[in-house]
Amino acid sequence: MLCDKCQKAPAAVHLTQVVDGQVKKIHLCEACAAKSGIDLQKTMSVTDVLMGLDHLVPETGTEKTETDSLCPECGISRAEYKRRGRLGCAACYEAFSDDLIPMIRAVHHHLQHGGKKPHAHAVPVEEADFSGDLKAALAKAVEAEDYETAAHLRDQMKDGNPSGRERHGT
Amino acid sequence: MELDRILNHPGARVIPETESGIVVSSRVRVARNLRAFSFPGWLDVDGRVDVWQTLLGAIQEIPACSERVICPMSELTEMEKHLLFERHLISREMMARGEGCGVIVCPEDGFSLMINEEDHIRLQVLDAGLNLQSALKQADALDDAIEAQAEYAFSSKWGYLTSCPTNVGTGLRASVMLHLPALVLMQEMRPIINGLSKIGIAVRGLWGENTEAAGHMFQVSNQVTLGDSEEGIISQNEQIVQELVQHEENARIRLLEEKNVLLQDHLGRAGGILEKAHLLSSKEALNLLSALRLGIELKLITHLRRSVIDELLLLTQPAHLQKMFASDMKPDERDQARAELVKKRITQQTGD
Repeated sequence: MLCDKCQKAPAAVHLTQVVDGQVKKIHLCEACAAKSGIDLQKTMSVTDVLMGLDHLVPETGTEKTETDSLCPECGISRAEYKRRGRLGCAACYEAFSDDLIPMIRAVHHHLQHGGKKPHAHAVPVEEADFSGDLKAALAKAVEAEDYETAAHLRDQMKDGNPSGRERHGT
Repeated sequence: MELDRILNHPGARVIPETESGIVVSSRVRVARNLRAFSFPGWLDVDGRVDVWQTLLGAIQEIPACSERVICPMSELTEMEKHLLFERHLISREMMARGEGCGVIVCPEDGFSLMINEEDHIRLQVLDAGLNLQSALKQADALDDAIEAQAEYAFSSKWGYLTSCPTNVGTGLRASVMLHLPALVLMQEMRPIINGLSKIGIAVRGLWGENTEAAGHMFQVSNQVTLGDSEEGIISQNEQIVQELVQHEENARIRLLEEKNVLLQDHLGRAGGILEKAHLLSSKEALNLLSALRLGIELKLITHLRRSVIDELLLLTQPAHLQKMFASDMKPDERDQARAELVKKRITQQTGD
């Protein structure tokens, strides 16, 4: 297999990246990997692979321009957060959720918080909001054909157990 | 300055001599952000100062934080920043920060708060030995106390919102520092690191990378922060640490039984070099001290106490040496000072 960048040397580095819910594989030779800032001696973090290596994906010409999408609260663009690998504010999670869902699933294998909550988020106000959130999460999981998460969410809705704490035996 | 109060405190490094030293320390880190502000990486100086002031105000109201030492990055010298870094109280990222960023340390209570690093708040509790449960309890109580003063960025779906989605959910990183020299000597670390990475547990060298870990010190931590409860994350981590301890104990027995000469040679060389060398690099010192530490635990070295080695592992780091010798030394001068210090401490104890 040849390097995706130079198309000359054999590929030695194989990366898998999730972009807009699609899995992309990138194959690079050692020289191109080094030029792209990949240190073969160093362990790469999952974040680097999933967020910060956008520039490695060969231009196909069919990709969306990334400047159109801005977070309504802090104003950073999709391209900016991807370049820095850091989100701008709390509202970015909603604004860029299409990108974040596959990425978060890849890292955490879950799409629903199951831990502590601030006291201000205690039931019952929360519960009403939450069932909406669960429904939305379920719809997204089904859409992405992530049936394991979908089954999980469905169980949570049935149990009326939003935090999922009991499931974890705590 | 008050920094000495932090440095003079033994921190989490002292484990009773009678206990096994395989588990060195436990650390619980919790990431939190304030709802009203952008994440620190996108804030300008005024914004960061605003967050800093808000949080200082909140902390002032918390009785558990009454004995705090406040270290603003803008007021620290480079050496002081390095000292805090070597104590695991600030990160490299924090060292590069300036106004509106810093760390608040309560040395006697074993916790600290980094303000405006990657997230507005990085709350850390450090304890000796395997004590993740109690560290979590302490972190949880402090988190509650801060939350009573300030509104956090939280969503019922994603949990606590963090600047990097790899920390979202609980924002919890539970890590345990382990001394695993026998597994390294038996060349068994690589499959362990690979196997654990598949179940979402990261194993990293405390100094250096992967199996090249200088001093054979490893940090074991959870990668997954979303989905499970805090207690679930902690108990999975503890269970894995206990298994690793068993593996290390087995490897030590096999070393003694199957590779005794190799082991004795390893320990003998380490002792010889440390006693006679005139120049010691940081990495060499870590590796040789690690060998002595193993020898003491295996009772093959009886004239030294483990606490002496543990203290040297801390004091031979570059910034700690500079502070001790109170001068701005070049690397080769540091190597000389390091060799002197080690020789003095080791032979002093031999003469006890």
